[in-house]
Amino acid sequence: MNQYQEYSLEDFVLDARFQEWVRYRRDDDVTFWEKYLLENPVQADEIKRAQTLLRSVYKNYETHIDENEIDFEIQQLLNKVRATKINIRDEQTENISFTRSANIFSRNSILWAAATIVLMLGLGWLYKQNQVPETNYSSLTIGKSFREEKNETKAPKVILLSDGSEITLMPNAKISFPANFPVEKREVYLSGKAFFQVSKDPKRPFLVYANELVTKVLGTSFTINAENLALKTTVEVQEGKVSVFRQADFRDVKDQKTLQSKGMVLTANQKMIFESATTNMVKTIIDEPEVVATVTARTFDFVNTPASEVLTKLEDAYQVDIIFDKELLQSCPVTASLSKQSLLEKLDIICEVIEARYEMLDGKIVIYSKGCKN
Amino acid sequence: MPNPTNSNQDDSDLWNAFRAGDDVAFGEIARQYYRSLFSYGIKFSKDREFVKDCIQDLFMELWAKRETIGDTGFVKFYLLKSLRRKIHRESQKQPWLTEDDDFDFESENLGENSIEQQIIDIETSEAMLKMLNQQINLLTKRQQEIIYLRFFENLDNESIAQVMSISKQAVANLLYRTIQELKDRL
Repeated sequence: MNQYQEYSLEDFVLDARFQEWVRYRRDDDVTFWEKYLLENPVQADEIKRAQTLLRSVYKNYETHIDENEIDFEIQQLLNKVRATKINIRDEQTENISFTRSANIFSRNSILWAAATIVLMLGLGWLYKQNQVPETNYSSLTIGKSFREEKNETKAPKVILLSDGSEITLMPNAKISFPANFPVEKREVYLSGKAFFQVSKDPKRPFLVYANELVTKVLGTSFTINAENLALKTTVEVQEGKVSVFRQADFRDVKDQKTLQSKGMVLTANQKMIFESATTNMVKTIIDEPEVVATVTARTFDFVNTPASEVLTKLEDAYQVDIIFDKELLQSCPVTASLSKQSLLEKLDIICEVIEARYEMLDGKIVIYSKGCKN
Repeated sequence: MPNPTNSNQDDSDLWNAFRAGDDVAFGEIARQYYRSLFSYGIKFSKDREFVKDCIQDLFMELWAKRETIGDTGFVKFYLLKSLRRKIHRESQKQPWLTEDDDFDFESENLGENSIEQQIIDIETSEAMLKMLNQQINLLTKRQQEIIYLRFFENLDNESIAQVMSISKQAVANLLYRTIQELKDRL
């Protein structure tokens, strides 16, 4: 234990055990170093300073990447590897060149796929079971000692859960949930339409069972409409990310990685429509996209601003993907005051000005333009 | 964070399976290194998707070369070094990365303090950390990369020298100097 006695700050910061203590604060390291500090008060100052130094390094270079993001990447990788195994000759080169492609469209699709995976974060599983909505809700909740809240009024009703989450029930909606959530997950059962503001707790995913879908989130806000069970169920994301799965997949696939590939990820201002008849999940933009709450820049006044910049600003503000040729649109100046219009109106105006058009495709907006150089 | 240099029995089983063409084992290995690689790569380019693409390519190359891969002890720095080279090369090819076409090592947390600061103890004043962070960002890119590889990736000086293609002595000198500079600010 006395190996540290002669240590100065320089030695401490380079010592693996010392680093681990500062970085991960594992119990046994904490015990060890606290005891050491008590027994060697002369070194307290050096230790404190070494600690501060390391801490600031760790803080400064900390990187945020989600486990789910990593899972997704690994899954992608394995898919490619498997493809090479099956079709050794042709597929290999093709797959490798795919990721390297400089094409903006394929980059974006990768981005989207990645975002989808991340969705596990705010995984929303909406699953529409059978054709009768009540059946699913009641079959899932029957015989369990849940608390049930109904909105029999004509106005929205706010329910506060024990974890701090807030659910706004629309008229005729009802929700069941345990009085206290278990440590590992938060599960609620919905019938009807409700808006959710889920409090953040990455260790405890929040699951909403509604019709044939399960929506999983870690903390975000979104609306589920499971009132017309027979026809369709929708999930709209106001903020953050949500994953949506068919209940059957959610139930049958235990393996998280495989599960992810079956779900759909929605990010802010996206909407998923699930049709019972076809069991298709279709992704689109919500009807009236709003500027995402956390975004600070709210002015949309442009004077001779390159269209590429304008679109990037809209992308940030609404957190939607807009696909366009950056180089091409750099040459298209836009002068317009766009603060009052909705996103789609803004796009109409911009496209008018630069003689382009746009389409919505798979929850993204694609701008078609020939550029503005004469 | 897994420490892949400790190749225990499980690790070497994993590697043998990978070399024999087992894709599940390969996935496990990729997962072990993923966070380190991403965290390192993102210091050179702020484009997360671009970094991920580079890592995908890197692993596909590793897979293609699996039969000729040697000792697992070298893998981490081999991967870090390859990623560094790849990002450098690819970012020169890609015209849309115009905003950061310098090949610079820097923290992606510049000017941000929104990140949940779970690691930070109350006993250390925020102000001191902030000041020190500014100080770190004033270090040369090379100094920053060295302390990153040393403190974050736990590489020894020899491996750092390999990754950065400089001499071991240069690493030792720079590391010492960097710690001194930061220490004076405490």
